[in-house]
Amino acid sequence: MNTNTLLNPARLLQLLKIDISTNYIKILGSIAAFFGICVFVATLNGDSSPNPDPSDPFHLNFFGFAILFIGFMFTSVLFNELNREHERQFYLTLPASNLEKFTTKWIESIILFPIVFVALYALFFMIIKPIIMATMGCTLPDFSPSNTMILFFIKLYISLSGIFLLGAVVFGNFSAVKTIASIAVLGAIFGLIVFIFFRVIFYDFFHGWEIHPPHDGREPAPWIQDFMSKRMPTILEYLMWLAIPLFTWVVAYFKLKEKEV
Amino acid sequence: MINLNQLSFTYRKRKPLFTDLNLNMEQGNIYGLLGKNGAGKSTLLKIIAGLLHPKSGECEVMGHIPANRHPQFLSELYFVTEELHVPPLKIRQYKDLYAPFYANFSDEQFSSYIQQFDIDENWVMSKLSHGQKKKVILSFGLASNCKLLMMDEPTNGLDIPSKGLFRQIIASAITDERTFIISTHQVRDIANMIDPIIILEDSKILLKETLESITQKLSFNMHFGTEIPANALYHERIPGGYQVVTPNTNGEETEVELESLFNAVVANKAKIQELFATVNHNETV
Repeated sequence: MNTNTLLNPARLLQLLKIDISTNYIKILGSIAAFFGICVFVATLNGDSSPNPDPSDPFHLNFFGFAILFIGFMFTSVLFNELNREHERQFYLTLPASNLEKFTTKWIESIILFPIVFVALYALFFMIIKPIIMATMGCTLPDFSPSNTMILFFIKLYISLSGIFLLGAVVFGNFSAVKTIASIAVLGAIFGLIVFIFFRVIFYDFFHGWEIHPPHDGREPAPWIQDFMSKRMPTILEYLMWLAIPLFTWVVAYFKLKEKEV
Repeated sequence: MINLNQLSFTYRKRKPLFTDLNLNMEQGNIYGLLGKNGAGKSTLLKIIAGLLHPKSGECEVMGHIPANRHPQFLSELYFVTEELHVPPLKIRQYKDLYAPFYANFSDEQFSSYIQQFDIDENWVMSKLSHGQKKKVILSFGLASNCKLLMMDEPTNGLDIPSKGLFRQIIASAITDERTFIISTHQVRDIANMIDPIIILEDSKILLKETLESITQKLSFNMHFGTEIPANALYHERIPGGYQVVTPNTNGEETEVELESLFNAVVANKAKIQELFATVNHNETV
């Protein structure tokens, strides 16, 4: 195997093979446990009519929750070997670059997980639907991976999983819990800063703690209105779908290099 | 092969472990790194493997700086740690997955070593005993044909026949291009195999000598009777007399008894340094 480059496709593929081969029992176990819950929820929520309502939001709610919850948990344990002394030594002396090791985990989290999850989810409900119908007498709506909301949840997972990838690198054990707690704390601090900031700028719009636009004919300047109505949504969109994932991936890579030291 | 120059290392919140350590190792040798628990043997191996980064000084291994952990460097090094991590894979699968990282890995050698250790390639690694795991990892490391093979307490967990087999395999696997470093405090397990010998005590290298040099300078004899020779550097009671280590004054070479050597060196640091001063002034600290 060529050992001269820092991103060698053959080594990358080999690392992926190793991760899939050594972790597949854990991954399948987690998905099996999840699908066990699915069966339970499916029977509780199943429509008793033989013709399901196409607008039934079962999959929209359930799929969204499932891909985010399981995906974030999965991403959070990707760097677990760095937290255990003996696995850490083995991992660090494996002849591959930091970039290859990071890219392997990135591919598993961002590309492989959504594909495998959607495929297994679709397969599971395809199998379970007639069984539920036969045993419980109720049915479920069809699952369509091309549904706009399903695609939105996949996109949302890809965008936000970077935060959990970063958490997996930065925190040791229980990184999922620590990441969620960190998001909550940072969110609260950010919210407080924004709130105080807006109260200073838009002092006139507040009466005590309540928001009351002044009724004296004064309105925000046109550029502010324009900015808030047209540019702000675009900025937030870029921030959500581009800046957050890119930032977290890059920071996670450099934090991994730092942690390995 | 390995050059440590003025190397200092400190674990966080602890007193310095190594201060201005100098050490050179050449290829084609089986180095025995001996020392008590906590002497710094494992730390030294980890620094050479790039797992720990020195605070200051230089560490160069096979032309690389280990701390950079360049894939090319790592593919020429195999480190058998004392405690092992093995995945839940069959030995054959393990070999197929990890061997491609080592350009000179030999399937034939691996199968041969595994067979000699009486292990089946279809066994699941995570279900093996500690000794069996060690045999598999040792076999893999040897079959990788890496230039540098480091083993930390390799005989821990091996049964008596396997220890003998281990010595035979190691002796047959060394070539002019390879270097083995065996770190242990169980010196009897690696007797007649290691050369040169490095003795580490209190984070300092007390001795780094070839067997030839040691036999030229020291004598290892049984001394029967009740009296201990006046010039004995170390003596140990045995039935009917003493096992003694004395300076070699008559030029007659005796077989090195590793345990006695170790104890003599640790008990007579200044005297030993003085004895070996003419042949060793760089590596001792």
